[in-house]
Amino acid sequence: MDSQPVHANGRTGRFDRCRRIALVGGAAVLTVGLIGIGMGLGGANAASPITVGYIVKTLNNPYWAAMQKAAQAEAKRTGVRLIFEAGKYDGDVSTQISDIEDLTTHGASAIIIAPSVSASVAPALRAAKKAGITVIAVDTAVDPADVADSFVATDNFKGGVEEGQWAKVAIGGKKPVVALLEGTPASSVNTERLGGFLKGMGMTKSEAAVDLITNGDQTKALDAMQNTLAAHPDINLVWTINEPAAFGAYTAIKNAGLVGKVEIVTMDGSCHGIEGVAVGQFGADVLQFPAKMAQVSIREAIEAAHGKKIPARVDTGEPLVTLHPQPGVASIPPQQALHECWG
Amino acid sequence: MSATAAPSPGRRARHAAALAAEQLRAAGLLGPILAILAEIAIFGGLAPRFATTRNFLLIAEQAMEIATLAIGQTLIILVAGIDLANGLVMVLASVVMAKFAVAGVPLVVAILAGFAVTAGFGLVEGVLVALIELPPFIVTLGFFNVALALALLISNEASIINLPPGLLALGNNVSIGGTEFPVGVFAMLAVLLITWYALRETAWGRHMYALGDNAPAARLTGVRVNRVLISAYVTAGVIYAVAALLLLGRTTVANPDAGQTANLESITAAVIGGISLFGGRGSIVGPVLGAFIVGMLQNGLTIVGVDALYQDIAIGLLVILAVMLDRLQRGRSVR
Repeated sequence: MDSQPVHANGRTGRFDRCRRIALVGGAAVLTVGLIGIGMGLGGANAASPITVGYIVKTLNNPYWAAMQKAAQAEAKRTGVRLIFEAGKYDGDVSTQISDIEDLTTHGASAIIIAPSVSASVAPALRAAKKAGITVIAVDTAVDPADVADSFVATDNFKGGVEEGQWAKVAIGGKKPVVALLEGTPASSVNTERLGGFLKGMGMTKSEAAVDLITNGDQTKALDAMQNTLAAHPDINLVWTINEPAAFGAYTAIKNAGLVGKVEIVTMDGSCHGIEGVAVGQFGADVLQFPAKMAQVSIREAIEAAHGKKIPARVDTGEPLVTLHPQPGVASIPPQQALHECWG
Repeated sequence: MSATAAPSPGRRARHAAALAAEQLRAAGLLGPILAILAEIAIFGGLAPRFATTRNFLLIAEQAMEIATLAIGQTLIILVAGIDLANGLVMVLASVVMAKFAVAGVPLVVAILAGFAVTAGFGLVEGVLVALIELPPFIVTLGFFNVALALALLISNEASIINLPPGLLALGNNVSIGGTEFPVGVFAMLAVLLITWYALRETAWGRHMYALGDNAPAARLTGVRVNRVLISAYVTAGVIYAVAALLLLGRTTVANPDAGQTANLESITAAVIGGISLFGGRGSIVGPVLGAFIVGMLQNGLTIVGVDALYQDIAIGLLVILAVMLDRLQRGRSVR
């Protein structure tokens, strides 16, 4: 009792010889393609003595794409073999763990990783270290920190302090009415940036008029800011976890006709964001250097492979960018930052 | 190969091999097994570190979560459904188990709470599909969002860390004869064995196939269609809770952001394993092989040094290739 299949083209029944040949041909092409991906891409540069595995959170984000580009350029320049892997999305811990295990099996000299969840990669990284592999964390720390031989990243707390110090002076004699647009609570980046900002401002979290979660998402930040302005039209300072949140906040402020009355401070350092500073959308932005993180970490991997000691912590820098420098707060103008931004 | 002087034991062995191959082909498993052998040959030739016991066990460990999800997914596909929610139902269960365990609730209760969540989702989905006659695609798409939101709410949008060791037990290894075997793989195989037996040897199992192949005919022959349909979703739900324990063991945290693509990965495994998306056809062993094929491909490509995005292309091509081969085989089997 075999029912006849109905195809998308409306035909029923089995297919004829012509279609079969096409199928066999197609299957053959796909097989060759698969083998080609395995051999062609895998075999490249196989003679290089040092192999570096590099794992980022995801590639559907310009920040990580910028880091990948710089890592590939640095690997080419220094002649190391780079295997670049990534989770399928931000938070894809399973893929990151599998990548660590596979790179350990491969016998890489070093694994450079930006962990999606700091605590979940530690067991796999310990096994890698046991196999003699150097472990370097970039951008985001590993938990516990001593699992990594080195940590190359922005000092998010320091960047936050700069934002806070600048904002405190910039709003002048006015009483600060602050909105906090947080990223993902309990993530290390959110904790450090916000903690730094509050310290720089000399205030506590409970002194803020509103404190909302945006996950660093532009749409969520837009909604949050609209709701905030409806309840507190007197807001004069908005702290945002990153540039997407800052752009969301700016749109809400613009729609409410409050441009010029509210300062936005943020931290990311993409060229898009620095342009936002240049045209006065944001009061201040903090630069980060994903390309520098890639270069420094790959150089460290090479040094470690040659038996040299590498530093436990490298701060890749976090200069404040603003059109309105304030006394006592170091900053650079956006025109200069546009040469150093990413994306 | 050589037709000259083939001795009779050789011929008999070849005959037996041909018979076994025919049986596997009838069950839709010949393609997946050939694919695994092809991968072993190709990657083994490219990287000497690939074809080792240690690495094969690693692949099994990397694939066990998707393999378990794919077993549940297949139960639903067999009754002509599809489950888009399974990855996030698993994540929700992992978050619930972790939340309870960290709050000091006895471990058994925490784990049972997770099972209750996944079985509950299965029950509601099954009722909506069977009694209200809503399309499975829409129902499970809706519950995809519900499960995601609940997981984020319950976890306060952050990973739950420092979980008790008991909750992570399926991530441990056991040493057998000097080799470290991942416990989770045994759990997955146990799920497979029980499901395989139930589908093959019980009336419930035969009814599942009958229902998926031709629901009106099954109803006319006296199969209690609604009951079987709902039971498929509930059973799948119970299996997803096992997947949740595997996820916890492997990642050591309850991460509400996990599992976002697991639904499609489990469907991929089922399709590569020879399961017909129209229902009523395919062996439950197939999806597990399918998950292994994908896991082996990712592992092998990383070991030979292929970057992430090219791996995704390879997996996409593999799915289409699997369906093409399946189509070829079906076309021939009717002649």
